[in-house]
Amino acid sequence: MKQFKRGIERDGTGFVVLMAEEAEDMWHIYNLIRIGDIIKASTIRKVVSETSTGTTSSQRVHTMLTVSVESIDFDPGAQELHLKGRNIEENDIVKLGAYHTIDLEPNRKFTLQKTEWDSIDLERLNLALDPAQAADVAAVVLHEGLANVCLITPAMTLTRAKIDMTIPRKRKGFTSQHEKGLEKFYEAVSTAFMRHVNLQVVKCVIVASRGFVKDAFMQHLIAHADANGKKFTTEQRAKFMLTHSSSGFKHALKEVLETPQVALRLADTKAQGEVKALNQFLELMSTEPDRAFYGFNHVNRANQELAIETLLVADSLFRAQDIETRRKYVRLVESVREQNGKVHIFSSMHVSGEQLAQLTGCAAILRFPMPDLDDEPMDEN
Amino acid sequence: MSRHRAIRNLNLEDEMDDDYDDDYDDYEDEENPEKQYTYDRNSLSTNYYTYLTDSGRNSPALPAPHPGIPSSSYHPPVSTPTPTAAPTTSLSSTIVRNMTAPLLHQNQKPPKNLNSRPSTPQTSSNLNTPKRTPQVKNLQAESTTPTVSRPSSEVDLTSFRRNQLQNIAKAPSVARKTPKPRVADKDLINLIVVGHVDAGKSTLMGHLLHDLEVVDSRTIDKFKHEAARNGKASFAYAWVLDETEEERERGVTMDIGRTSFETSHRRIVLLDAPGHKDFISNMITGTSQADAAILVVNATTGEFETGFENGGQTKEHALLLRSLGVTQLIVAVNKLDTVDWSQDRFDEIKNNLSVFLTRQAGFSKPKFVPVSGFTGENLIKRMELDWYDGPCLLELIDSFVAPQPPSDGPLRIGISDVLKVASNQLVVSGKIESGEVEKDDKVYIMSSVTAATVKECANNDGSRHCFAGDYILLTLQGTFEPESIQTGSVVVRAGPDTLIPSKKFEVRLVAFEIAMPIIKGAKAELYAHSLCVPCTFTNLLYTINKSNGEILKKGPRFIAKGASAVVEIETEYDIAIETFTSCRALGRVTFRAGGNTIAAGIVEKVITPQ
Repeated sequence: MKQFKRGIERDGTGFVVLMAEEAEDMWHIYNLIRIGDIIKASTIRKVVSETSTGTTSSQRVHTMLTVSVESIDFDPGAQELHLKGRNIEENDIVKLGAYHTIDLEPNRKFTLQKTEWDSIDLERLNLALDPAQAADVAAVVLHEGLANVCLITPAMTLTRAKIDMTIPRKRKGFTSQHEKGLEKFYEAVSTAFMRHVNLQVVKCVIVASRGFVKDAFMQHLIAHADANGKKFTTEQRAKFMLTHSSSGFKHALKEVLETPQVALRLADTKAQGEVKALNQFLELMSTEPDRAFYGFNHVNRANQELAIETLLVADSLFRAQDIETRRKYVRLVESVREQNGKVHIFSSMHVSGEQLAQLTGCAAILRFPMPDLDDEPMDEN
Repeated sequence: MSRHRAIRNLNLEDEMDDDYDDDYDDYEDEENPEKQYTYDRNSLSTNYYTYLTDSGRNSPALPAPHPGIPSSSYHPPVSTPTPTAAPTTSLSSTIVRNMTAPLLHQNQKPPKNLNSRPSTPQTSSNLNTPKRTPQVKNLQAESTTPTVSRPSSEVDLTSFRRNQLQNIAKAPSVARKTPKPRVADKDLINLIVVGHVDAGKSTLMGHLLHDLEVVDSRTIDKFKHEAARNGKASFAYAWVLDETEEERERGVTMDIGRTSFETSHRRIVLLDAPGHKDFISNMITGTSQADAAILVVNATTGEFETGFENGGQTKEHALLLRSLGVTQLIVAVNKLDTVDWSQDRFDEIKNNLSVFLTRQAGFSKPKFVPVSGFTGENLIKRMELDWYDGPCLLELIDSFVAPQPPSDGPLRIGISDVLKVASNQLVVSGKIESGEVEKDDKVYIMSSVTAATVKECANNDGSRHCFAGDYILLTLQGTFEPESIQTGSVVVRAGPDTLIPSKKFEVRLVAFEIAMPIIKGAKAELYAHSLCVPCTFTNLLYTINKSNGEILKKGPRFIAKGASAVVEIETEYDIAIETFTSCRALGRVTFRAGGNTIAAGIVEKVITPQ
């Protein structure tokens, strides 16, 4: 992400001029923009003009518009953000108060103005501006008949392709059908892989499955690349890493990221850190449940006792429509930081973040056990 | 509390019959004297599996004492396991027994209602939860049958699909011809062979098939020759069942091998399960079709221990067998030739295993037999051993008791394999869980709601009229979209007792020995019949006291290992399973995550959005 100008006052009001450069940045922008913010960007508007004789003609006109955002829609696949809102600066073509939807995509400059930039926003902004963050990893998790081709970026896990086929089982005397089915399946996955994964860009490719599927697939992939004139170089081949997963479902990625072998290669990616923190929480849940709590009520109570060692929050909570809810969590994060607690903000686009979001989105590892917390009611989310 | 007490005093004859619906009348008389099947407080100590299966599809116990069934005269005396005779009252906590008491809730329903046939399966959910009824009232008004009160399953269903489902449910059930009783002289048994990897399952079965002359010597010689050439001479017998190139190359069974043979009193469909940890999903699919099992353990020094202690599949397989409703078990202690047929070794294994099998897994009377799959001793002929004088493996297989299939129920065929898909024709195979099917029947495939006509159906003997319990090959005609029919689909008939697919369920489960507790939002793979889908634990409702079924804690933060609880789960898309009370085979679920089985349970309720 590129920043052209930053004008944020001490009281938190202000604006920034930004331009997204890649898909990842769109995710950050999506997390920055909230209802009520003001966006100024160049956009296309259809203008209908009427001549004196009464015939109408419509034209698409490029214009600069400023809207107050009323609804936000993010399309992670297409990397587009649709911001709908009312025009607040009249110009020649668009009336004041008219609705318009601004589409943001990479390489479009825009101005974002907020009445309140809080610590979470600023942190997110700085994170997005840090160029050292980019580290793409491609992953293929598969079992017989199902494969997910994913891209793991620091903030997102994107499923690029999902291949779901039925493979006939082995039957007495009809094993050829089974083998033919497998062959077809590997072919489909290989094609999807070549289409969606750019081996020049990704740092590492993880192929994970149970049993021997990964080896068979790898063989097939190399043959496939060869046959299509895209023979892997030794350098590219070194990027591949075969590892075990119990299934080909997307949630098996969590397992894959845990394996020490993979952990080593991805040591400092955000996804890896999140998986580790969540695992620590889960482990504590089974060994010492009085030190692991989730749900805002419990966590907040623990915080009042200055008990939080590590706080896990899902970023979806900060996208809350309701400003009060957001403030509530921002206060919690700030207060934990003040006490020298660690805070992990999970991306809800990762597998681990998905699970945390299901777990009310808010969990904490405590410094000391608080058994009486258990008796208090959990909040219903 | 008081509710539970009241149940305890109920007469169990009624209770048991609830699950039997139509068979009620048939069994009423015979059962009264059968005091051992009568529920009493003491027998609670048997684990939930016992309870679940006492009257289940695999139950040998109920049909066996029926004097009217001629086939029962075939049963050798050894073969009548009595479930309630299982462990004594004070048995220490078993992992899996805790579902016992909770199940009684379900049985509270007045038997009267349950006996009215057509409304049974669907209304049962309403009966369980009377307070829900007002909410679904408007839907009830729409249709004449009460069954549609179970609204369609998905909020974002297109109205087309919703209408389609409602129409299917509204359609009058076709009057079935009086079921022709099958004239079979031998009972059919689906037998699965399980055990830790490299215990010798495939070799044992391959050798048995050879000895029975199902596989001729020429083939075996060929295998021996080829195997020797690949430096795997000891795998020759396993090649009978491991047919794919990959399996032979690697020397590991990867998917269920299926074949059939006959003993003097039984027809056996043999399912050879893979033992490797990575292929447990295939093993589960096979087990869901089985009535009885052989657990093979490796007697070689050190090998039994690897398979049995932590990380081995012997335990996991045994627990899975039980949670999938298999009650009859033979333990084949294999490779005894490697330890010179030592009695000490046999006894050591026997003692270790029987404690686990009876106390933790809850098998009533597992039988142990010493064998050698490679050299072939004690397979079909008794062998001369000074310390073993029991029956050989074949005799024990012959003594399995056939399950009494609930053939009067609504049609349910779990598709376990899709062989051929064309745009207008489909060839699938699967097991009939209940009901019967014939050529020209009009059926629907759930959960894709595809209409089809049965063009051909045949079981192993080539019989054209197939009943519950049969594993059949089905040719269907209709218009099919590619990939819309997958393994795990269910073939049903239209009518009030049809199956409405859904994606949210309430499940009563028992957590296995797990390292990490189950928490809200945890993801797992759900296994039911031959289905495998990812699912999420969306809500932990309450934990249950294992021994009496009382609610321990509402809204628990987590489910620890060994605990029993009721949870809400959600799958990614609609799947075809139903409550345990409607159909046992489609109501049993198993959860796995990270390559381990984390819990097993039964579907209590199909949750449909309002």
